[in-house]
Amino acid sequence: MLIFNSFQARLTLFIISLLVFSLTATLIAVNKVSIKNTNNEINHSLQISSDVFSNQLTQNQDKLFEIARLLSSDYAFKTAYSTNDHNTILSAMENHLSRVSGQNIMMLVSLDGNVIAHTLKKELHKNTNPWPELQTSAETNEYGESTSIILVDKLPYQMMVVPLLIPDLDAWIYIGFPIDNDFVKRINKITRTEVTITHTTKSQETLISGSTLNIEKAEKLRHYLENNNVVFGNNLTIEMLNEDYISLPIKLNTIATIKLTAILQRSLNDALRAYNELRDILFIIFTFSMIISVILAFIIARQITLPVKLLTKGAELIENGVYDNEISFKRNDEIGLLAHSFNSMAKGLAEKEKVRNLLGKVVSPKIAEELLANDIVLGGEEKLVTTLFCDIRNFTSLCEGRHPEEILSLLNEYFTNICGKIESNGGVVDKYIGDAVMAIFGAPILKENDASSSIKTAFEMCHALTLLNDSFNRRGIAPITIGIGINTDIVVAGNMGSINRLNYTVIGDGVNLASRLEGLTKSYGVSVIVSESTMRAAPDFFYRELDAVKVKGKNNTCLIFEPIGQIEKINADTSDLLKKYNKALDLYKKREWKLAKKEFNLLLENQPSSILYQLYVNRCDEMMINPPDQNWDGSHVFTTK
Amino acid sequence: MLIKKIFLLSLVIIPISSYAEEFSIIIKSPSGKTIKDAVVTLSSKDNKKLQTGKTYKIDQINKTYVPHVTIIPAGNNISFPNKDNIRHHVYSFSETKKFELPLYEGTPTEPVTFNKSGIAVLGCNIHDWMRAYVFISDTPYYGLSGESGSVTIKNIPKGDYSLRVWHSRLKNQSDFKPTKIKVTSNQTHPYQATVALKPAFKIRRAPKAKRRKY
Repeated sequence: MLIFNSFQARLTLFIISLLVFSLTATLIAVNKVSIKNTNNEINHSLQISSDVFSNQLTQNQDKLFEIARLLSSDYAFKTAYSTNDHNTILSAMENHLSRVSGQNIMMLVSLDGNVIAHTLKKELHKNTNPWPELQTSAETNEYGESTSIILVDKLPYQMMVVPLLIPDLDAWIYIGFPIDNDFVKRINKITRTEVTITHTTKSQETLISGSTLNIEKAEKLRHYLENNNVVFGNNLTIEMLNEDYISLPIKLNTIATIKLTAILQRSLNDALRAYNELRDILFIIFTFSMIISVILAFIIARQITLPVKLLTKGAELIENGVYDNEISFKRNDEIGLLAHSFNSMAKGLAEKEKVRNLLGKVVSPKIAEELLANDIVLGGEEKLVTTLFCDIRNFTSLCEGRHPEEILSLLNEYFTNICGKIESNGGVVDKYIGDAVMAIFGAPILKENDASSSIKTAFEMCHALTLLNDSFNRRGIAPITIGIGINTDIVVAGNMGSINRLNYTVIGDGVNLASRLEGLTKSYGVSVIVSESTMRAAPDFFYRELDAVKVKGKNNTCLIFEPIGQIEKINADTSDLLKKYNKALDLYKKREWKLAKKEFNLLLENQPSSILYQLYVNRCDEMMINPPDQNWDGSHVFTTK
Repeated sequence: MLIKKIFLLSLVIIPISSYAEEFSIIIKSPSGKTIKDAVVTLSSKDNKKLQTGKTYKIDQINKTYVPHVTIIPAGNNISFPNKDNIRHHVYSFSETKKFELPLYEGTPTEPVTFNKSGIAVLGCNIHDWMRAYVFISDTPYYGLSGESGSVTIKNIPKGDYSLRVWHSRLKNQSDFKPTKIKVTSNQTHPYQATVALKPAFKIRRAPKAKRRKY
C-alpha cells in the first residue's frame, strides 16, 4: 500500500479514521438510545392514553347512568309515560336529553321487548327491540342496570339500560352516547394521541366509526386492520403514509356480535423529530470537522514532511561528501532547531573530513583510519610485515647545481609517481627519509599476499621510474636510478613516540634488514633485492639467488634474491639464462673457482654490462688467491652498510 | 225490634253457617320456602255480591306503607293517613287506578275509591323505595298469606272455584292464571300452591354521610 509509506498520508488517514470512528460511534449510540428512549416514552404515553380512554368511557357511562336513573325516577316523565301517547313520551325523552350535553340518544322499550319510543330512529316505534341482549343482561342485574356498546346505523353507541320504575318496573330506558369523532377528539385533546375506533362487520369488513387521523392515514389503518390480526394490549408498529406509528389496540366491551376496537397511536417520526434534528446537526458537525481536519492534517503534515525531505536530501549530500549545503528554515520550533543542529553537524563533519584527509595525506589513509578508529595509545603489537625500502642512488648528483625548490619539486614529482604504486598495491607509506621512502605491507591490516604485493609494487615502481626518466630526459634532466630492498619478518607495529607527538610505524630486525638489502642493490647491480623470507612468502615469482650474505652487525647468513618476474610470464630465454647462472653459482658454492669463473665469463660475454657476473668473476679470482677456510658457508661478509 | 234484629241476623247467620266451609292453601316457592304477602282469590260464576262502601286504610309510617299488600273488594275506598312528620306524595300509574295524593300531611279528607278490580302499585314521589300493593278483588273470597305462607278463606260455600294466586314479584305472569279447584267440606290438608318469584331490583340509596369523629 504505497500511500502508507508517506507520513503525510498516514497522519491524514489517522486523523480521518479517528474522526470517522468517534463520530460514527456517537451517531450510532445517539440513534440507539434515542430510539429506545422514544419507544419507551411512546409505550408509556400510549398506556396512559389507554387509561384515559377507559376512564373517559367510564365517566361517560357513569354520567349517562345517572341521567338515566334520574329520568327513571322523574315524576314528570312517569306521568308523561302513563299517557301512553307516543309523541308525548318522545318529547319528554327529548326534553330530558336536552338537559344534558352530548349527542345522546334515548329509547324506551316495553317489558315484552317492543320499542315504545326512540329519539334517533323514530321509525322504530312499535318494532322489536333491536338489542335484546342488553335487556336480558339488565334483567339479571341486581339493580336492573346494564351497559354495552351497540351499533346504531353502523355507529357505535355506549348504551346504558336502567329500569323505569313506576314504582315497579314497567319499561326499560335505554340511553347512549356515540363513540364517534367527537369522542376520540376529546381523548386526543387530553393525551395528544391519535385515536381510531373501528368495528368489524359480519362480512369481515373493517369500518371506521371515528378517527383523529386524516382521511388517507385512516384509510391505510383501516386497510391494515382488515388484513391483519392484532393482539389487544400489545404495542405494534404500523406504517401509514411512510410514517411509523406505535399502535396500541384496545378491545371495547360490546355485545357478542359486534367487534369493536380502539387503536391508540403515536407517531414515531414525530417523537424522533428532536433526535433526528440532533442527528442531522451531528452529521453536519461531523462533515465540517472532517473537511477542516483533513485540511489541517495536510498542512501540519506538510510542515513536518517538507523539512524532513530537505533534511534527508542534505544528509544524502553529506553522505556524498558535499558539506556546504545549508538548510534554512525560518522557524523557531523543533524543526527549526533540528535544521540549526543539522547545519552545525554538517560543518563539524566537513571539518573532520578535512582533518581526516589531511591526516591521510600525512600518514597515509590506512594509518589515518587505524589511528582514528582506536584510542591513541602508545605501544604496538607483533605483526608479520613486509618492509620495502626504496632509495635514489644518485640523489646527490641530482641535487648538484639545483635550487632547493627545484630539488623539492623534482623529488615530489618522483615520489608522487612511485608512491602511488605502494598505495595501489595495498601498502602503506610509512615515512619519507630524505630521498628514500619506507613502505610496509601487512600493517595496520594483514593481507595474505603482502609479500607478493610488495614485489609487484617494486616492479611497478621501476616501470614508473622508466617513464619518469623519459620525461626527465625530455626536459634535460639526468635520469634517476633507484634501489629497492624488501624483507618479510615479524616486527612490532604500533604508535611510537610520545603521547602528544607520535608515529604509527614498525620497528625490528626485519625492518633493518630491508634497509640493508636496499643498500646492497648497487653492489649487485640490481634494482630489487628480496630476502629469503620474502621469497618464500611470494612463491608466485621467479627469483635469482644473488648471494649469501652476512650483513654488518649480524652473524646470520641470509640468502638474497633478485625477483625476475611472475612465474607465468617468464619466457624461455630468461629461463635458460637463469639455468646457466644457477649452474655457475652452484660451482662457485662448491669452490670450483675456475669452472665457476668460466661460466660467469660466458654469461658476461652475453651481457657485458652485468655487474653481477663481473662481481662473481672477481670473486672467483679472489677466492683463487685467498681461498676461504673449511667451514665457509658460501656467504660473503659485508663490512659496510 | 230486638226480635227483628235476631230474625234478620239468623237469616244471615243460618245460611252462612249452613254453607260455611273453609279453604286452606299454603303458598311456597319452588325451593320450598313459604311465601308471605301472596294474594289468594277464589272466584266462581255466581259470586256473592261484593260489599262496597267500606273504607280501608294504608298508613305511611317511617317512610313505609303499612301494610305492604292490601286486598279490598272492588267498589271500596282506601284512605292514606300520613303518620310521618314529612309530607308524602302517594301516586299510582296502574291502569286499574291512576291517582295521586300530592304532598300532604295528616289524612286527606277524601279517601280514594277503587272501583275496578285489578292491581294498583302505589309509590311515593319523594321516596323511591316506598311501595304498596292494592289488590282490588272481584270476589269476596280472598286472603293474604303471612309469614307461614298459609291462607284460610272462611265461610266459603262448597263448589267449584277458580283459584288464583298473585304476588307482587311473580316471576311469570302466566302463574296468575286461574286453576280450577273444588271447595269441599272436609279439606284434609291445605292446598299447595307453588309460585316462583323473581328478586326485586334494589333501589340505590346514597350512603349516609358518616359523622366525623373528633
